Amino acid sequence: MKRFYSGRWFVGCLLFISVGCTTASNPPDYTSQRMDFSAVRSVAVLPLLNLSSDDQGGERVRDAFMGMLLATEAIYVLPPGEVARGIALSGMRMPETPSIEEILKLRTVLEVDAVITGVLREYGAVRSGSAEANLLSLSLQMIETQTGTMVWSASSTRGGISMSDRMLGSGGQPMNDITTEVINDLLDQLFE
Amino acid sequence: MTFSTNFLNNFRLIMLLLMLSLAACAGIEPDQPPLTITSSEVVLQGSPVARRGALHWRVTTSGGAGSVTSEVLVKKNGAERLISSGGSATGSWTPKEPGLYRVKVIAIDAGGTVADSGWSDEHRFAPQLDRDSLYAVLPLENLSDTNIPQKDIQATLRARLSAEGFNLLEQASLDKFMAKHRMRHVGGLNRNLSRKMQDELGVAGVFVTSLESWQEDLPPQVSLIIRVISTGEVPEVFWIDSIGLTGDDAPGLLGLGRIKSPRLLLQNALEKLLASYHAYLTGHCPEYLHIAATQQLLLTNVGDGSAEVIETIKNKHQPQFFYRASTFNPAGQYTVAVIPFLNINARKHAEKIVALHLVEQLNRYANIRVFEPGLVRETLLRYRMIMQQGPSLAAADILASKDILGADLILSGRVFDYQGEFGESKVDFSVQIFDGIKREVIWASRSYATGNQGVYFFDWGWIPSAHGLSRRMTQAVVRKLEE
Repeated sequence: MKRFYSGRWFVGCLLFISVGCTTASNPPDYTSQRMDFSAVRSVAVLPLLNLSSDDQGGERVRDAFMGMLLATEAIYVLPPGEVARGIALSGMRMPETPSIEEILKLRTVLEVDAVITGVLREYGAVRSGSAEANLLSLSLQMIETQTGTMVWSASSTRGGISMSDRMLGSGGQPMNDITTEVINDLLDQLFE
Repeated sequence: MTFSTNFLNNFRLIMLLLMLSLAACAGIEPDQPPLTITSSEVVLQGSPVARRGALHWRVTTSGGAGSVTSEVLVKKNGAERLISSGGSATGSWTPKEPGLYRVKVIAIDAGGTVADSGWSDEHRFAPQLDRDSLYAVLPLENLSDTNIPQKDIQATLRARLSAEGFNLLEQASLDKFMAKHRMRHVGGLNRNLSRKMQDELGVAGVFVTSLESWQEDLPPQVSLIIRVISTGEVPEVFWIDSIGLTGDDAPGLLGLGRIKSPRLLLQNALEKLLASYHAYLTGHCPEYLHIAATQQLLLTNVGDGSAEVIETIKNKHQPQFFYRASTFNPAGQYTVAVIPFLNINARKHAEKIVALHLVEQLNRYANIRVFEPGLVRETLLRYRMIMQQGPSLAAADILASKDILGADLILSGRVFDYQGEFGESKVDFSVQIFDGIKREVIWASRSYATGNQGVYFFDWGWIPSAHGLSRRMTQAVVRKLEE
């Protein structure tokens, strides 16, 4: 009887530890099944809505995302200066959160197949006790410009305080490396 | 006889003979003479001065199938490169750098037959400037974001140039000229001032000095970018080089090699930069070029004048990612306008410094001509091009227009970090290049590095200054573009 209970305890502890060790995965992405993504040949990446404490975080991440998306050679990304001209000509008041009418107007100015908007939720160092590490959390949406409907949405979070940061106080990865990881994850979700 | 008659009447044999005779005639076009070059001449047009004179070729051919196109090769110091492909039998080419040049024209017909004109005689092109030319030394452009002993540095520069035997314009004359023409910007020359400097002062070359960093606290630090611009109708960058020194560059045993005086660092920096300009004047300035046979990028004019394979750049200084359009031909001839970068929260003037580093790196390539930054600045101001997010297609159209600037490529970018005076050196920037004619982005990259990246033992490989980092990083970007 005693052996039976000790076995249960052992299995229970193992289960508890394994559940505790699991990491939170990204929320599932949305990809429209009716959309033909091969028809998207050019996109405009609009300025990101920056909810982080770093004022320039949005521009840093947007610049990296535009370059990496262009480097896939799957989609032509309009240069930021041209996007800014399109925003000005179409009279967008808040380019981070465009309305359908504004997107349709942007299409006539820039002649793009889709626009990408996004929200930078976290960018910078996070602290827990004496430990500190960089964290980046980004969500992106693709809106096609024919009808103004969202055809893809995904998010990714990387960095944060790991066990080694707590134990050794390493300070985490550099922000640029985390940015690259997050964007690679989002591009994987876009092209999967 | 009966046998022979049967033999001739054999239908199969007649068909066989017919086929054999047809096969024997196949491939012969009796009326088509082979492609040959009947006459070829390569003559010098204008003065035998680099960037001013030109080599003009004219080739006449006979025979050959269909239309005939030509490829033109140039040989300098034993290295051959293609300067024109698919063109007509007549044309001209202006050498960018001084040296000895030979030209060869290859005619190719529609059937792929090749005829070769052979190498022409050697044509020597001298540099436009020498030590006896009259130089103006513009006041220092302070990009260091600190208070500097400007008069001292300027006096040291002038004294050093005079000691090297350069013929310098009197400071009073230059001051009078600057006051008369209300010349405030000392970071370059526009068309108007370039013309007036030549007409009114007789100046042939202008030294433009940008002080990137100046630190008197220990360890001292000096970084300079110097270029020489020609005067006349269109100012051109003839030579540009830079150097960044810190007191801790070579500490040696027990720190005995440390330099504590910024003035001494300045002297050392000027000595190295003027040695580089001397090499340019004597035709020994290293130059990158694409070898025609292998399409390999080589560094020529090194030491004994030979060509050598370029040493690789460390991975840590390479761009984190890059895109190069598949349609871009790295061996093509291009004119490039480098416009000031956007400064995203980096230190003051970082946008100008990174742009100057890129001008320096691009200027080393034989197939690239970089516009003088003062000329680009003038165009931006004249057309009131305010680019809050970088150049748009409309802005690129203006810069690419043959009537305005005529740039084939427009290079821009953003600087996110540029620190090196205090703490860890760190540089972070992105580069974007437009093809002005095709109206599309042909290059995008992002580069990020820190001075102590990959340093584990005794500061081995440590790069203390932002200048050292940005020089290596911009070199890596341009190499990737041109490879």
